[in-house]
Amino acid sequence: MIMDLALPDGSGYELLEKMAGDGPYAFPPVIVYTGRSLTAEEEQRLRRYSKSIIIKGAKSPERLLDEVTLFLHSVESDLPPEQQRMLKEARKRDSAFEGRRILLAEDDIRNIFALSQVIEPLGAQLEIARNGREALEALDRSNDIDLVLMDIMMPEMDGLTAMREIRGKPQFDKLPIIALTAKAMPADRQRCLDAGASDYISKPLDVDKLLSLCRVWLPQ
Amino acid sequence: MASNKDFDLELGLLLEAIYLKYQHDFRDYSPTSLRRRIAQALPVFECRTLSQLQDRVWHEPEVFPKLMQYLTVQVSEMFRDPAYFKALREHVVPVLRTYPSIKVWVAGCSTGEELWSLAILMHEEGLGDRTLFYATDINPQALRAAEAAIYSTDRIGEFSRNYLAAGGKGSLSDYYHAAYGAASFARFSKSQVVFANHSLATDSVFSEVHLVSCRNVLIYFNRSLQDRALGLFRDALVRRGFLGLGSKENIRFTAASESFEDFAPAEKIYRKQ
Repeated sequence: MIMDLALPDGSGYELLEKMAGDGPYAFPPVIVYTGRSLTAEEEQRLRRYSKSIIIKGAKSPERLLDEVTLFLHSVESDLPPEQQRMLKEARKRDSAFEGRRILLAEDDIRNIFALSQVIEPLGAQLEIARNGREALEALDRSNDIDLVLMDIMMPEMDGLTAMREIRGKPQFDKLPIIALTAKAMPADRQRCLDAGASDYISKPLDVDKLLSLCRVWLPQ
Repeated sequence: MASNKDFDLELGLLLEAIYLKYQHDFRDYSPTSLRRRIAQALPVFECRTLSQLQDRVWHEPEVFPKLMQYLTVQVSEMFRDPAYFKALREHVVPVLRTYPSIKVWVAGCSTGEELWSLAILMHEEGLGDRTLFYATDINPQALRAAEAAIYSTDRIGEFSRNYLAAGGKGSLSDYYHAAYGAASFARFSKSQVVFANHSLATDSVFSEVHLVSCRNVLIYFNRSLQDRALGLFRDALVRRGFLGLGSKENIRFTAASESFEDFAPAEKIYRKQ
């Protein structure tokens, strides 16, 4: 589905949110094709539903064609049935995740998209923060976050600083924080733990491994 | 002077020691430039042999950070190779414009000349507000200099000439404040940059980006490290994202060549397939 955001009878957001609600139909891949630039908040809201957002301009028809071609190609080389079954299996609700609230502080759009696709079907609610400062704000706003996934390299406030700030507040003493780090050396991992991480996982993220880590750290 | 073979063996031992003790991995750097740089460093550290230098690196914690400056710091210029920046402006920016937000990774940013050039370019193209830069390097001292964004005024003349040749829309002086023999770009869009210590030899991909600019870094790597770095760039880039290399660098004959196509070959700009 290729859509603009300004529709004659409502906004594109409403349509997407309605489509995402429980219904008998599968959610199609969506390409948002829009004439105006988006704020960071708008982009983040759209990212839950759409992998490709294209701002109209001289080069946009070319990119639209590119993205559609990619989609058609990916349909052709669809996943083998065994993998599809596993994917379905993985999408079943999971008692460890059911009703939990997980804060994901991450600025990599691919990970936000991938983790929303995996974690939300398991029954957990995912809050997104795009930097350390937003993560702190999210924690202050809602006192029922069960687990934090904290990227290290983020704009405005990095993950190490954010974890130190969180651990500086007594009410977050026991809050599990899993650091997501692109750095691989033992000293880097130690830095995560010293800053207050309960555990860490290396990027690129292995989703299965991350889910196991969450199961371990989500309070029973 | 010991024979070349002995020198290389000793060099190997020194690099192994640095890796074990400080976890900085120079073992896959190109031997040619390492030999030259280390040979320059020896007299500075008052050592006759590499083994003596290794002794100091191992036992005196303040020596390695100083040696690091000899192993890594490259002197660059703002808008170095103006044709590269012109090609970015004319051919890459129109594509980047179609993304709601843009991420640029300046890998091996050293003291920041290239980073600030790209930041100025994106600003002039009206994309400053929606562009986030990742500026990474393994040298903490260079990263601090990049963040400070202060350059000696005697370099500014050359920077300005490059800027204009690169299609600059105003005057470079719009972006700096000069006093006391130094020009500061510090007030310019710093909130849009993430500075981070990241090693192309040992660390992995941290975010999805639309453009990677990594110039005059790969020339210091051997083939296998070049392959590793290019693999990181490939994995970090969005499909159809862009990679810019230095004028003497090439992805031909590397493991990543299959993943990229020529985009502006004369300016060493490639596009992910």
